[in-house]
Amino acid sequence: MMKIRDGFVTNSSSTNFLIISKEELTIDYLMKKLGVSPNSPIVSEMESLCREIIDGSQSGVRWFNVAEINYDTVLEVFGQNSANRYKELTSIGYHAFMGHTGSDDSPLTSFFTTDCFILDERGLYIDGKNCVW
Amino acid sequence: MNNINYLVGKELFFSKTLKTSRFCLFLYFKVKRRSYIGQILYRLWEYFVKNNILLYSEYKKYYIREYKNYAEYLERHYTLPSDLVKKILNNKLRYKCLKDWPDVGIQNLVQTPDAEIIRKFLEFLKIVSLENYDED
Amino acid sequence: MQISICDIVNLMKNIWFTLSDVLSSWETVTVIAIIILNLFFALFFRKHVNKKSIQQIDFLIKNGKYIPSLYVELNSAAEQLRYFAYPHKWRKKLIRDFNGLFKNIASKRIRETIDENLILRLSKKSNYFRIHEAIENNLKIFEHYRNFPYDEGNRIGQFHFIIEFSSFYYQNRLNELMEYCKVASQNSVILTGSAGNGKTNLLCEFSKMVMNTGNICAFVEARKIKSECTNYFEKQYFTKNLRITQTVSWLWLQNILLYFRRKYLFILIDAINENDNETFITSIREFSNQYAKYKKVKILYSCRSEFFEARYKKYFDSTLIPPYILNSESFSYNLRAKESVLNTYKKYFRFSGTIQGLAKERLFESLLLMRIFFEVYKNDGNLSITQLNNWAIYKKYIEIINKQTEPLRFEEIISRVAALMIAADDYESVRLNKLNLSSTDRALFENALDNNFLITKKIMLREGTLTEESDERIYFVFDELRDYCISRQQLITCENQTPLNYALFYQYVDQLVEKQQSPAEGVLKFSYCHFRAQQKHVECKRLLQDYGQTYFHTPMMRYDKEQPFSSFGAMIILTAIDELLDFEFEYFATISLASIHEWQDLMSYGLRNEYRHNQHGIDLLLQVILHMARLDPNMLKERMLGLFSHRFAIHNQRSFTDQYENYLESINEEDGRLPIGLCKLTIIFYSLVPTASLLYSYIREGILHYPNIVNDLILEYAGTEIVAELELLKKPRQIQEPINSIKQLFKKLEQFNETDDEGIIDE
Repeated sequence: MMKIRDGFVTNSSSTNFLIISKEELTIDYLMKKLGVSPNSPIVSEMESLCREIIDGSQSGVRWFNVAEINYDTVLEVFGQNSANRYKELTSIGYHAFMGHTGSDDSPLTSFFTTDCFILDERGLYIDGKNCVW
Repeated sequence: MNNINYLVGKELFFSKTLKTSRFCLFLYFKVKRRSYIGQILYRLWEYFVKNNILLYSEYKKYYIREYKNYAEYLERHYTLPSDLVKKILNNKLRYKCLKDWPDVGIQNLVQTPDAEIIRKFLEFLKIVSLENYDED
Repeated sequence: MQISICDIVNLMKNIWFTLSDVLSSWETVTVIAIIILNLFFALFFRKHVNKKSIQQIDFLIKNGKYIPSLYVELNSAAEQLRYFAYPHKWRKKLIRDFNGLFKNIASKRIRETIDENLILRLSKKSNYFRIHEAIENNLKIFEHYRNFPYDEGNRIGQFHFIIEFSSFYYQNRLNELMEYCKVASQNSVILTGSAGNGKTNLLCEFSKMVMNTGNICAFVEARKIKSECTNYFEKQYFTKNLRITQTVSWLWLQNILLYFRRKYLFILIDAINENDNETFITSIREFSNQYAKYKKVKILYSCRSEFFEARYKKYFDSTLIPPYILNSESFSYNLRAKESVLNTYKKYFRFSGTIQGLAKERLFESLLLMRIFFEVYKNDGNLSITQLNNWAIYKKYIEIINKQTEPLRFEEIISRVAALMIAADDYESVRLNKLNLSSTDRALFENALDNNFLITKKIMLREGTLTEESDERIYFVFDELRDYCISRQQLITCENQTPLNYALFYQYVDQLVEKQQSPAEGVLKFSYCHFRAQQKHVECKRLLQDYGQTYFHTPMMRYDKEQPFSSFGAMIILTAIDELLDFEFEYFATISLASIHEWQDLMSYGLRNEYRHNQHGIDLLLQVILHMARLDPNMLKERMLGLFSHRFAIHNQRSFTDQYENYLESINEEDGRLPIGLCKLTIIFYSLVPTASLLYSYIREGILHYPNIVNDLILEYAGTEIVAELELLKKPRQIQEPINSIKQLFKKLEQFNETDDEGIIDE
């Protein structure tokens, strides 16, 4: 029978993220950086998360008009901290991506969308503080 | 020792073993502990396992004068059917009420139908969900 | 400062001399003798008091007011009382639960982000005051963040969404802990709840529990207290048997002894509402004040909630320390607890039949109805109940009460109450005085009021010169029963006329419906059942026709939690407990043809019932579809297409095919194969809706299991236009090539979406 979600599931929403990465975004690279090994039992879920992040990074941010990624646009969308980090990391050759994911995507992507976090690791910086529910 | 754990409605009755401990969690899922996904898994582990109650010691400490024996305590205090009590009865049984867990992100993830990660997690903790006894 | 040995010797000498002086005096000897005597009696005091309480419990068991085997721990009321009984021991549990709530990543993140004042941990030694403070502090913080603190938006960014939602969970849990904290630090508690709610059971269990743990427990029924409360306890428990003169000093001594033993003296007064003695009621305040002085004395009262607010609250509010009010109705029960109650009742009332489906759901809605049900059907062996006929239950229960309350004619009084309600056009309550009972009848009636679950007394609060006596009002516990009595009253009046004439009845119903008065729905429902039982189908049709589409402002059928239909007519029909009749199926068909909403409601209702193995499942759907095919086959096709249209999918967030396939799959898994009814329905979908070809595999399986199924359907639908579509299925090629149909489908769907103006309203 159909299951009904009884938590705080509101209308579908989508939020923006910023990724500053040492290498170009690929599924394998993201998987490695997010901490999953290729033979993990949840590898398929993680693959869809990474795919949706990459897809999201190609479709640009929502709610803002961003023609190109630069210090000002990062500052406008993600705030001072991320803008500083952007300046710092891009100066040493990192790549920056902005995009959005939605709460209607796969379960982990939905979690990624609604969670409020900053991931700052070697080789990868993610600003996921936007979390409209 | 009973190795199957039961999720009755939103209450979990389980036994703690090394295989389902926090240390084996990351080994089982083959993820890095301090990574993004490691954190999610740890939050899930918290949701299911952390702050559990060892039922036998709870019974001995607070309810021993009220119920004739441990089985009666489980049956009457947690209104469990007697056949289920027979299955789960052991002195190392633990209890965790999943209702009102304050981590909303995890609450939402757990309630997502067909989430593979939750299915795998229940497999890791060897949890059987008894739908018949669902919460009202 | 230096003290020499000489000083110490001198001091000791002085003490010795003073002591020998004191000891030599006769007064001191007497004091010591009294203390020793008191100590001696104190040891026997517990035995004496507890023995009396056990006698009281036995008395309640004998009267059937307390049935130990019926006790089920339903909600947290029992847990709260444990905190009340063992505040010291359970303090650690409270601290553990508090710390447990905040010992996780989510809480740490919140504290780091929002507020350093959030208390995450309490030390094991914290007292109740400290615990109360911490809970209150955290509750305040979460309250603040729950009320959309936009000014905080700049500081915490979008993290406020997470805090806002998690505040809900924190507050839930913290409020629960707060209740525990409050009840544990109180010395008197009032347990309130409606009739049959299990207050006496809970009190008896509580007294047994505290006696088991070495406490002293004085348990008494309030109706036994004929004088002042304080006097009663002095005479019964403290002085009369033990020949101790001064109760106050006696209690003081007990208090000290209990302090050293770390135990309590519990005074339990059950059902204070059953004692109408004015002296008793007014003495409660003094009693509470006097005993509030002793920290080791705890008092627990119980009272019906409908009396408490009006009559007793003011007395308790004016005490030195107002007691904690524990409302046992404010807790919700989970399904497991209800199941447990059902099994316990079954065992106790030796009911070996089966209760399933809608009947079970109905009983779970009201535990009181469950109790009445078992009282009525006790010792029944071979009964298999799938749907409840409430009014039959009430009727039988009234007969039982009738027998119990002889020579009082209880049933007649109930009818009189209903008649008075109709006459006064006031369906809330009836003044007790208006019943014109003789003094003996009144005494019997008052007793009956305390011992039945159908009608009860309420005291209305009124300002002015009216005495309380004149404000006593009788009302029905179940609105359903009131409506039943009212409709019976009206129908009997009409049926006694010769020739039979229902004009008066319809006039009355018209008036109820027009004014939207609360009994309207119930009266219509029961009169329909009445006409149906008497096979007066013309009247049934008239009711459906005239009132079937009435809209009531009150929640439809207040007693039904689930409202499967928006049409009132459909709701009336479903109250019938046996097989539906032809004209009823026709009614469903007509409303489904008229409105797509009714049609969708019907589909989901039927499928849900089939899944739960309830009555009115797939058979209802098939019959209605058959009638629809006979009435208007083209519209039926349109309705079918409507189900599979993308509008349905948008409205319900999932396509019907998807839902239906899931549903078939789960039934298949459960039962091994699809039942014939479902196969028939699937085939009808398949033949009428091109999209349904996605269900092809199920159809093939169905035809394998039931080879004659298509022929049977053709026979059933003989004479309708649907036969042509069904005939097509006989050709194997048509079934094996679903792709062709999908192509057709898109064409048809396009046409349908263009023409469908009614559709589903996007809300």
